[in-house]
Amino acid sequence: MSTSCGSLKVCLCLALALLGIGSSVRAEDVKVEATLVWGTNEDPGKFKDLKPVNPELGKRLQYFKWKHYLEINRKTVALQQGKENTIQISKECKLILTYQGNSMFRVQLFGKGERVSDRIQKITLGEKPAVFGGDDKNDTAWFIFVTRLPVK
Amino acid sequence: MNAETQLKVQALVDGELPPNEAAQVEALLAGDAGARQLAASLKATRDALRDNEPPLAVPESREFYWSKIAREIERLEAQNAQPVPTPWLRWARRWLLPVGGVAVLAGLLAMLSASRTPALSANSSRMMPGTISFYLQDEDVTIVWIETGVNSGFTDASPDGSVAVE
Repeated sequence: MSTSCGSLKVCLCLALALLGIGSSVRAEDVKVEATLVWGTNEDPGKFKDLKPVNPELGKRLQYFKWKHYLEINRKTVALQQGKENTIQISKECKLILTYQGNSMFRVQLFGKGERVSDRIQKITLGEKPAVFGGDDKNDTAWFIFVTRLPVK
Repeated sequence: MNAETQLKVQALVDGELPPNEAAQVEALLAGDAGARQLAASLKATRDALRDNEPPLAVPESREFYWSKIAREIERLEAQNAQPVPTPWLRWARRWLLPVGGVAVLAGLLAMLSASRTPALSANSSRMMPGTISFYLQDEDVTIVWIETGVNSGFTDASPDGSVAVE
């Protein structure tokens, strides 16, 4: 009898310990920033409301044909592991971000209600952002950077 | 006089030494005034305790006294003893609890591994038509290019090149 009670206590302790571990894993929160960038060859002076993109992001676009990269929108969001979070990055486009743990993110892009990309990507703090892009009207292009920010 | 000699003197006073050792210590006492003084002091203490200790008589007989202790021990043991479980309860304790514990652990481990394992592998892409990705080695970054056509609406660009910002 004392043996079975002892095994029960051990099982309960292990279960509680694992519950503790599990809750601490699930409690991991991250912060990301989504930046919508427009690539154009036109004079940026024509677009007073738009500012040049952050140089850190801009250097990753130097291989593309456009001369100017302007920031259209930027949004920061805190993600809880396992929970989807929607970022409306422009009037008709949105991202759905899901943090899966271990710096892995699921990034879904929607344009005009249609999902155009669904990707699992590693995004590490201060290093590699996730970068998406595509053609736009009048020989321009759009880019979306998903960058990880430190959680304060 | 060292500690060992003091212990031997004490053992002599208490009558605990074998005859040959007792003779040696007595010879030591004959030649050592300090040892003699210690022996005298110990004897005086022993005599004082022996002669002045008040006698303590147990009110009951020895057998009755010990039987009371035995009965008290039995009573406490009976009080602490748990009821004998039924066969079903014994079976449940023996099998259901450990198996249930293992099942709970397995479930928790499965939940943990599921929450840690991404649905797709690293940097994988569900094959969306018109999606290509390329790696920029110098920048150590992968860019996903999506052939959405110019009407994707991402920048809400108007035909004249102006951008409608929210």
